[in-house]
Amino acid sequence: MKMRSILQFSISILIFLLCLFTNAQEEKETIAIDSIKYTQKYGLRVGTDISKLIRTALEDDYQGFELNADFRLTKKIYIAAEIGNEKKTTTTDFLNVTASGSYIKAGIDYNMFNNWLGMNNMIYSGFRTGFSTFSQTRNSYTVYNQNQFWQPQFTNNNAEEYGGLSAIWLELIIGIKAEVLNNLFVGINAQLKGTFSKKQPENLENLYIPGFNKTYDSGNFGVGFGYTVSYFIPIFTK
Amino acid sequence: MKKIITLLLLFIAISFSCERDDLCDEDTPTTPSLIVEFRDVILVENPKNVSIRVEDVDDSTRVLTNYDDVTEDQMILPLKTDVDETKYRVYKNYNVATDGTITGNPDVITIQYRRKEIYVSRACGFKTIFENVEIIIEPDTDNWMDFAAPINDNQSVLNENEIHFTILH
Repeated sequence: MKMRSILQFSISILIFLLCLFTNAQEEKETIAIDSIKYTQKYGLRVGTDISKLIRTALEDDYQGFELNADFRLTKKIYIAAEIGNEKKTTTTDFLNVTASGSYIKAGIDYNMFNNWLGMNNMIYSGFRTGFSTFSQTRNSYTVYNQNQFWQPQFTNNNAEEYGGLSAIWLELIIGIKAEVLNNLFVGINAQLKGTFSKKQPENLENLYIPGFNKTYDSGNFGVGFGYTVSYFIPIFTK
Repeated sequence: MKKIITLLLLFIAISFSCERDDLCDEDTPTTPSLIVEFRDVILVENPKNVSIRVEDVDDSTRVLTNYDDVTEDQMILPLKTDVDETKYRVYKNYNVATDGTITGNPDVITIQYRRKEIYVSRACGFKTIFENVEIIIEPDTDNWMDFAAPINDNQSVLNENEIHFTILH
């Protein structure tokens, strides 16, 4: 394994040097156009999370839409934001609750990928601060009772809405964005989230937070995935 | 690059793995049952065993699990969560003779209460707690139960950590 790595490394270095060498040769002949070779495009990239659209189409208990955007600030750093709306029904054997609301996330992406000239792909990591305002509707519940001598257990079908709920969280994001056509990008990312402030309903809890996704009994952590399609609008080059 | 792919796979694995949150743990306190202790009618602080059989008042073939002719000094009674009243028939010295005749002394108790549903967790949903619980011993010609008394005024049944009622006999 180690030998293979060393071999791969040596070959890469060789190819790299070879490229440099051939480049250098070419440069000698075309000094006049050298300066434009190193320019990079800067601009705004706007897109949507297609996984949310697909889930909206396929899943009865989910509706969601997200607009995302990033703006290239420096060679490696992008400011990024997402804004969206989600409605999700959580159903268990004893409980049926619908969460519905909007969210906004903003933060920074750092591109860790060294592109070849002319390429704009990203392997990035970054963070977001998320804020969601939403409501939860308890559609129905059936009392949980370990002893089933008397049946049925009480079922309440009177929906009750708990409004004015909110949550603030921090998330770490890692992902890839690849340019598949000129200025058109597809991407995949994963998010690890942790809430640090939330307003819970009385006699219920936040089972799903739009933008944060499912909550867990075990703690404040959550996870998320995104599959994005976005279009890059070049604004300037430098 | 490899590291990132590994991380991505890890994330996916976490999100699709079995979520223990979705199963209600049996140790989680949910809807409590009423705990009644049998005590001596003269020495009212002393638990006193009695041979009992506890059954559905409307269907004598439905016997409460673990209470089919046992000698106990307490009984744990589940309460109905859909109405404010639960009735049991409690036999003392229940016996079925070879010809099918049932002997023993049946007393009917009516338990009345107010219900309230309390949220427990995602997996367990809601539990019912019972407030202002009362036990009424229906009078008959030969009651073996003398008196039912709550431990506290306006007795509630919130959990199964302590006895809620005493029945003197």
